[in-house]
Amino acid sequence: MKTIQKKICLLGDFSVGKSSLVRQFVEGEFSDDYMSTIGVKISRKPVDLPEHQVKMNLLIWDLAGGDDYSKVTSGYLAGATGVVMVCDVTRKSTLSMVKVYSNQLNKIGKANLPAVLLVNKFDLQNIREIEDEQIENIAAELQCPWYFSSAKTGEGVEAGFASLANLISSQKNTK
Amino acid sequence: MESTDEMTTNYTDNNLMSRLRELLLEKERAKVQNLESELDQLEKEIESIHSQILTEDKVVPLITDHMGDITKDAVEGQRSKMARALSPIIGEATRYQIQESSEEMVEALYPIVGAAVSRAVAEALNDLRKRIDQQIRPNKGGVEVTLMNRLRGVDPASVAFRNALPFQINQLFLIQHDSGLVLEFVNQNTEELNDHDLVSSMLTAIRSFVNDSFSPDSNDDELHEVYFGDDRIIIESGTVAYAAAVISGVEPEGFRSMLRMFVNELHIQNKDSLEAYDGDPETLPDLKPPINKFIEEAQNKKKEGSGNTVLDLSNEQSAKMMRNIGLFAVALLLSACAFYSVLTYRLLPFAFGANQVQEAETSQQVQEVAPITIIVTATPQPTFAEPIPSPSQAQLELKQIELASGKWSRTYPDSDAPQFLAVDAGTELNVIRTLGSWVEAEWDDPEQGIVKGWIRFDWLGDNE
Repeated sequence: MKTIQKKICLLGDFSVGKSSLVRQFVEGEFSDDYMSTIGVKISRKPVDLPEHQVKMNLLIWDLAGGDDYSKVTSGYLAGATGVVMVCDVTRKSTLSMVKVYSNQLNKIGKANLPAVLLVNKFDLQNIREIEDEQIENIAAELQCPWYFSSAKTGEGVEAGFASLANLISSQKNTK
Repeated sequence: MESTDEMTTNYTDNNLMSRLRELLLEKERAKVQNLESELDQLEKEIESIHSQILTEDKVVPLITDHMGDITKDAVEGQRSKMARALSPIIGEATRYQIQESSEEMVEALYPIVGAAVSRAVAEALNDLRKRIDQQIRPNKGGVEVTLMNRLRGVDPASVAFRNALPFQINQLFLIQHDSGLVLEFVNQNTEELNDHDLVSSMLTAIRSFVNDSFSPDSNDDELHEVYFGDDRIIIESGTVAYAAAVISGVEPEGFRSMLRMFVNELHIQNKDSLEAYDGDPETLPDLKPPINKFIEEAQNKKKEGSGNTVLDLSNEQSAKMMRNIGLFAVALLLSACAFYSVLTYRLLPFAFGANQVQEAETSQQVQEVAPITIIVTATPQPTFAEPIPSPSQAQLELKQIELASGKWSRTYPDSDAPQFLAVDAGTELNVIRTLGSWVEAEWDDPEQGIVKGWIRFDWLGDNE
């Protein structure tokens, strides 16, 4: 099984749990302490894709969130082969920000980038503000699969990243 | 009787008062007595305690047990106050401690001081390297280089020292521009690098951040160098990929251009595969051999030394060189002037004939002592630059003059003006106007008829 490397980026509003998702995915850990990401944090996680007979080394660029989508962020997106869009199930506004980020991707010519939507903090679904239908609408618009996830419990995290890795690999094979 | 009665009454009153006091204040008196006895007891106890603790051997153990906690609490609670209180004695205490147990102090301070000294030395060497590098540039080797370095004020020992400083390429990354994916990585260090994929990605992120933050509108301005500890990362960029060489020590002169050429060469030979790289190493050619070759060449260049370096002009010592060159140029110019003067003087007899020169000299002497009587010559004579005398009022009033010797007229009143027409000796000139030392005159030219031109006043001969 050969090893390939891919750069993926995490996009989403501030405090939706991007860094926690990465930490859960890479290290299997979660912390309640919130530390805002400054700029970018990069992690690496190998993912086995037996159906494609490859081992994919995901270089995960966890970009700082916020509504100030600066040119710096677009610079970090250069060379990315996939994106994980993240929103917070307890904050409706974060779903709108997913749309904003998607538009920005289109603007820099990355409309066809494989993407996955993770609706995070599903462990707090008792105070959820986003309905399934709203998520489905956005996901349909972005033409990407979506998952409920919880960085705290680990639910949906592995599945979300694995789904993106499969999409990237499939896209490469169809080229 | 009356007085006895009065006394009896008084006595009775006193008794009654006394009895009344006893009844009213009995409890208070008892309390006061108790308090007094307690106070006596306490005073005795205090004296006893004083006598117990006010000896050094008893006080020190009592305090020592709690000193650490007390100091810690004080430092945490009143940090600035403690700092102010302790600062005057810290220096003295340190000196005392060094005197008392210098080895212990050295051992304690070595991790801090050693690192600081190491960094300071590394920085000093880097500064020295930069200074010397600013002064030198690639050229031919040998005596010429040594001579040029000497001329430009650089001690050859400095160049030799600079080249003797150690140099090592620890790692070399070849990284795809946008993605930050590693195209190739060579580690020359004995220590393994933790995760070169993450290092290259982070380096790319830093580059991207710096470029976008400080020169968002320019693609030319890039991060070229990163310092960390004693090491540096030298970055040279191509169109698709960039090379990042992690080096320690002082690189050889021209290392950066070597790296640039290496990156360019890699792009020329492998541009398509570098551009098409999507994370699958199998699609790339083996880039390790050229990288290893480059590293070997760079290290060899360092070992070869500085036989081929001379100073650049754009440094502080270039002023010294410029001064030397300036002095040399002035001396050369003066020599040339002297030579030309002597040569001209010697050649005059050959150019104009010995008699003419002699006569000219005689006429000059005559001019100084008597009204000019210039001998008419057949051909116009060249005019030499001399101080131009100003015409007197009488001269300016002249309306008609006769030229004593042949002269060249000018198109405008300047010795450097183009020669207009030769005016033969004996020609009558009608003065039109004067301008400084020049007169504009009109005369009848044998070929062109009436013409106008400018003639210097002192050429007119004896017209005073």
